[in-house]
Amino acid sequence: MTRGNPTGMRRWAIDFATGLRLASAGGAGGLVRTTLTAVAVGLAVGLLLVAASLPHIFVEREARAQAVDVPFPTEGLEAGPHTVLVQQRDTRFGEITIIGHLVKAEGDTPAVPAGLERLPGPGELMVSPALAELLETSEGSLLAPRLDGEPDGLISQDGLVGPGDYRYYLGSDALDLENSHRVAQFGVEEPGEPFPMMLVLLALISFTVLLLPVAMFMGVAARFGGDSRDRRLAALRLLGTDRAMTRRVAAGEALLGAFAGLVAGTVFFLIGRRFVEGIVLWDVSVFVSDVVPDPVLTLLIVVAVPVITVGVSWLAMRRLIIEPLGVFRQAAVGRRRLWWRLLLPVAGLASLVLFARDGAFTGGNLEQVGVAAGVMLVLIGAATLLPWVLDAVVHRIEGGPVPWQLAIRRLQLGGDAAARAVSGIAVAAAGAVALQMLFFGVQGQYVTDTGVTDGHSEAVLQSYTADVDPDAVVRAVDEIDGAETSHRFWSLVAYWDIEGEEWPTAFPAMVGECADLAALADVTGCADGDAFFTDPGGYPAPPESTTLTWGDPALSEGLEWTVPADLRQVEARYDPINGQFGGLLLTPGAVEPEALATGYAQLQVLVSDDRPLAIEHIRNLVEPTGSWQPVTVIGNEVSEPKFDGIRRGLLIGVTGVMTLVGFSLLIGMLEQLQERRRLLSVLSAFGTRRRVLGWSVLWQVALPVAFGLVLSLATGTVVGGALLTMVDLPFAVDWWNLAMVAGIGAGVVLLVTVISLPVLWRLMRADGIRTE
Amino acid sequence: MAIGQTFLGLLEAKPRHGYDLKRAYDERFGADRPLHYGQVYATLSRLLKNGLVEVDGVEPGEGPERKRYAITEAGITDVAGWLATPEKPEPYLQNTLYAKVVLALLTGRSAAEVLDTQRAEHLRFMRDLTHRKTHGDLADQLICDFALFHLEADLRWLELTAARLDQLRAEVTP
Amino acid sequence: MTTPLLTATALHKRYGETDALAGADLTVTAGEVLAIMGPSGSGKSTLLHCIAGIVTPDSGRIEYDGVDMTAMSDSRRSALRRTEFGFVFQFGQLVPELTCLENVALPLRMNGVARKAAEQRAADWLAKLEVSDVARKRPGQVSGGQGQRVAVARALVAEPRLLFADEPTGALDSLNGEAVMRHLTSAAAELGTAVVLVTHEARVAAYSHREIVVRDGRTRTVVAAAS
Ligand SMILES: Nc1ncnc2c1ncn2[C@@H]1O[C@H](COP(=O)(O)OP(=O)(O)OP(=O)(O)O)[C@@H](O)[C@H]1O
Ligand SMILES: [Mg+2]
Repeated sequence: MTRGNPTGMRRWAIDFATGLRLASAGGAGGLVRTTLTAVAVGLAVGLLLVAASLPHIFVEREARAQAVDVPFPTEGLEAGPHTVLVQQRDTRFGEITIIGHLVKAEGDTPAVPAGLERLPGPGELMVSPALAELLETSEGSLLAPRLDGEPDGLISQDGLVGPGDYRYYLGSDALDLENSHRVAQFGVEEPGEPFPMMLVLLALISFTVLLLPVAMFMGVAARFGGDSRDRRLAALRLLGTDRAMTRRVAAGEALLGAFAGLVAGTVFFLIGRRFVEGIVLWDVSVFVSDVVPDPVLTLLIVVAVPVITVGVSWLAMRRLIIEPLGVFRQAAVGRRRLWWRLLLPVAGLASLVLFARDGAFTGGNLEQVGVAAGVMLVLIGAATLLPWVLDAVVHRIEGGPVPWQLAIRRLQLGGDAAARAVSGIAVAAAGAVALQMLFFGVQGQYVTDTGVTDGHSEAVLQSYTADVDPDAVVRAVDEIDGAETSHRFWSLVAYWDIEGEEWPTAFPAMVGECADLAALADVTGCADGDAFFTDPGGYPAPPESTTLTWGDPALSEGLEWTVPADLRQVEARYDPINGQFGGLLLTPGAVEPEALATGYAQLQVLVSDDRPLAIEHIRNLVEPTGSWQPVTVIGNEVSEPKFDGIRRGLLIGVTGVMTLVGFSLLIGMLEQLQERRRLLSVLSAFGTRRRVLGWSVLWQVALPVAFGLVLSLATGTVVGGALLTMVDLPFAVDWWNLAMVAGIGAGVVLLVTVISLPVLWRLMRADGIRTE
Repeated sequence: MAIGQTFLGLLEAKPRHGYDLKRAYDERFGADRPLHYGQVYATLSRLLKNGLVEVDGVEPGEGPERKRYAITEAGITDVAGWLATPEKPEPYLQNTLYAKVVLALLTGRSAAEVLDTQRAEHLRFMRDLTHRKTHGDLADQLICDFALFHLEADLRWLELTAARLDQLRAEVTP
Repeated sequence: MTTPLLTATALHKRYGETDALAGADLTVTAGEVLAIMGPSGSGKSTLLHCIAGIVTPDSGRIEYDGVDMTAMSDSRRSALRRTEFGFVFQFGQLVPELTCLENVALPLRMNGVARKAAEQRAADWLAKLEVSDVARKRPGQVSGGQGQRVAVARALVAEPRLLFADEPTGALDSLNGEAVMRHLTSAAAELGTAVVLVTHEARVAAYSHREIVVRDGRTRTVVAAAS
C-alpha cells in the first residue's frame, strides 16, 4: 500500500464515506433532497412491507376463520358433558352480515367457542366489538330485538376473523334437536373454501400492477436533485477524484437516501399499520397484530432497496461525463432505439398467447408463472416504450401557441425525466385497464338484472315450517312504512312414486291466489280451484289422474293429491326470487288445506329504497320468532361481492400509484421551477402573462401523462383481451373504466399543476432577477 | 500640480509658517518629491502679491521662516473655484485630484462633490471619445480606445476614493 | 425634443432593514440614452426595477407618458412592459429550450403576432445585430456575446419606446461588451427608443448621453462644467 494512497477495500470505504458526507452536508438544499429521496423511497418501502405482510395476514386470518367455524352436524354424535346444541341465527343489517349462533350446553363442561371464556348461559349475549359498537348507534338499536337484549360481554380477538367482524353468541334454553344441531367442539380442521383459480390469477396480476410502478417510483426518487449532485461530483473531480471514484462517491450518496428511505419506510409502515383496523374492504378487515412482514421478504427488501437505488444512480450517470470543469451530457447518441423496447412487449404477448391459446387456464404452476411473466413483460414493455413514443411524437410537433411551444421544447430537451416518471402511470394504468376488463367480463357472468321493480328491493320471508300465521305477518309487514307485501305463497313439494323406480319424482308446488301465481307464470283466465303446470326445462307434467303425495312419502302420512283433468300447461315467467319456476301452480281451491302443513310460507315484500330501515323492521318482526329464516333482500341487481371489492381495491391502488407518480412529477416540476427562477423573473419583467407560463406548466405535465395514458390504455386493452380469451370470455371493452382511469390521470395532472402554480407565481416575482 | 492652490487650501485650514507649510505639503502630497524651500517662498510671495494670503504675524528672530501666513477672503474664493472646476481629464492626474480631495476634507468642503464633478467631466470626455470612435476609422478607434482605457482607470480610482472618503477624512483631519 | 418620457420623484424602497432607495429622482427623455452609475449595492438595480414597473416603490411617484405608474394594476403594468418596454439583463434571460430565433420572436408572439410573421421579423433583427448564424441554435450553444446580442434583438424586436438594460455587458469581455453596446445604442437610436442603462463600467456608460449617479439609494445629478 503506497503512502497516502489507499487502495482496495479501504479506497472503497473512503469513497463511500465521502459520498455519504456530501449528501448529508449539502446545506439546506442537500437536506431537502435527501429528505425527498427518503420520503419517496420510504413510501415504496412502506408499500413493499405491506405486501410482505400479506402472507402472515392470510395465514392468521385463515387460522382464526377455522377456529370460529362451527362444524357440520355429525351423524351419531351422542349427547355428552362437552356437547353443545347450536342453531345458526345469522342476520343482516343493511349491507352488514352478522353471524350469530344460539347455543345451549348439554353437559357440565360444554365446549367453548374461540374468543370466549365460557359458553354463554341462557339469555347471555356475547358480541364482537364491532357489533357492540353498532348496537350503540341509534340505527343499531333496531338490531337489538333480534339479539334479545343487551350484550353481556365481548368476544376477544381469538374468536374473530378480523376487527370488523360482526358476530354474536346467544345462550338459549329453547334449543332442541328439532331446531338445532349438536357439536362436540367449535372450530374445524379443514381449510375453508380455497380461492378460485380465477381469483389467484387476478391477485397475481394485481400485485404485478401495483408493485412495478412502486419500483419505478423508487428509481425516479433516486434521481431527485441529480443535477446538483452532479455538480458536486464535478467539484470533487477538480480535487483529483477519478471516474471510478466518482461513481463510488455517487453510490455513497445514493446509499444515504436508500437507508434514510428504509428508516422512513419502516416508520410509515409502523404508523400506517396502526390505522389498518379502521379499514374495511368488502367485509374484510385486518388486525394490527396480523400485519407482520414475512422475515425472508423483509430481508429481501432491506437488501434490494439500496442495491436498486445505487443501480439507478449509476444508470443515470451512464450518459454523463463528469469533468473537473463541469458536467457534460454525452451528445445524443442518435435516436432512441426501438427494437429492444419492442422486444419486451412482444415476448410478453407471445407468452400470453401461448397460454391463452386454448382458452383454458387451469391454474397450474407453470401457467401461473407464464401468465404473470407475460403480463409483466407487456407492462414493462409499455413503460420502456413510452420514452421512445414521447420522444418520437414530441420531435415531430411544430409550432402552436406560445405556452404549447415552451412545453414542447422543454420536453424535447428534457423529456427523459418526465417519461421516466410517467412510465409508472403506463404500467399502473395498463394493468388496471387489463384487470378491469377481466373483471368486467367475469362480472358479466355474475351481475344480473334481477327484475325487481326499479327503486325497490325485494325482501323474501320464508318460514321454516308451516307452523306460522302468514296473515298476521302480512298485516304487520304492511303496517311498516315503505314495505308492502307483493306476493304470498305456500311452497310445497309433491312426490310421484313410480313403480320400479328407486326414487320418486318431485314436483315443487306453489299455492297462491291467481294474482300471486301470475307473477310466476302466464295464468290468464285463472279462477280459484284451477291448477297449472309449468316447466321451463320442458319436463312433462304428471299425467291426468296420477296420485301424488304431499311431502316426503317416507316421513309424512301421505296426504294425497290427484292430478286433475283440467291441469293447464302454461308459460313460466321470470320472478326475481324463484327464477323460472318449474312445477305445479295451484290456487287454494285446488288443494286440501291440510296439505299446506307439509310446506312452508313464502312472502315477497317490496321495500322502497327510500326507506332502507323498513327492512330492519321486517327482520325484527320475523327473525326473533325462530320460525322464519333470515330475511334475504334482493336489490335491483345481484353482483358477486368478491369482485366488487377487488375492483374497488384496484381503483384505490391505481389512484395510489398515480398519486405517487403525480408526486414525482410534482417534485420534478418544483425542482425545475426553482432552477429557473431567474428566467421566470426575467420573463415576468418582460410582461409575460402568468397565464402563458401557467399553461406551459400544464402542457408540460399533461403531454407525457396523456401519452402515457393513451399507450397504457391501448396496452391494457390488448392484455385484457388476451386474459379474456384465456378464460373463454368474449372480448368487451369497459368504456366506463377506461374513462375512470383516464379521469384519474387527468386529476393527477390538474393537481400537480394546481400545486405548482403558486410556486410559479411566487418565482415570477422580480426578486429572482437578483439571484446570482 | 497646483502648489499655489494647495498652499491656499492648507492655509485655509489654519494659518502656518512657511516651513510648517512645506512640512504639511510634503507629508501629504509630496511623498516622492519634496518641495525645495525656494519653490515654497516663490509660491508664497506670488500669493502675497495677488492678495490671496497675508502675513498674519512675525515672530522675533531672523529669516523669512519667521513669518506666519494666513489666507484672505480672495484666497478662499480662489480655492473654492479651483475645487469646483474639474481637471481636464488627462493621464497622471492623481496627485492633483488627491490634493483636491484632501484639501476639501481639510477645509470642510464636500469631497464627494469634488469627485463627482471630476467623474462627470471624465465621462463627458469619454463620451466624446466614444462618439469619435464609433464614427471614425480603425486608427481613430485604436487611439480613442487607448485614451478611454486610461480614463476608465482614473474613473475607477475616483469611484474607489469616493467609497473610501470616510476613512480618508478620519486620517487627514486630526 | 426634450419632453420627459418618464419622470420619477422621491422614490423610496425598503428591504427589511436596508433602504435600497432613499429618495431617488430621475427623468428619462424620449430617445436619450441615460446611464445609471454608482457603487455596488447603491440601489441602481432597484431604481431600474421601480421605474420599469417590476417593483413597486414604497413611496414616490413614477409618471410614464403622463400616467402614474404606481397606481396601475399589475396587469396594466405587465401590459406596459410587454408593449412599450424592452429589457436586457446580464445573463440567463433567454429561454434555454427555444432556439435563438424563437427567443427573439417570443415578445412578438406574446403580443399576438402570428408565428411566421414574428419569426420573420426576429430574423431581420438577428441580421441587424450580425448574429444571423445562431438563429437555429439554442442559447446554450452560443457564446456569451452572441447570446447578449440575441437578448438585445429580443428587447428591441417589439420596437419599445423605452429599453431597460441592467449590466448588459457585465458578463462579457471588453471587445464583446463594446460590440453589444454599439449595436444596442445604434439600433435604439434608429427606433427612437430611449435607453436606461445600469452599469458600473465607464466605457459602457460612455455610450450614454447623460448619466446619473446613485449613492446609498439617493440620486445625484451632476452637471459637468461643460466648457
Ligand atoms: N429583494 C431584496 N431583498 C432584500 N434586499 C434587497 C433586495 N433587493 C435589493 N436589496 C438590497 O438593496 C440594496 C440595493 O440593491 P441593488 O440591487 O439595487 O444594488 P445595485 O446598485 O444594483 O448593486 P450591484 O451593482 O451590485 O448590482 C442592497 O443593499 C441590496 O442588498
Ligand atoms: Mg444591480
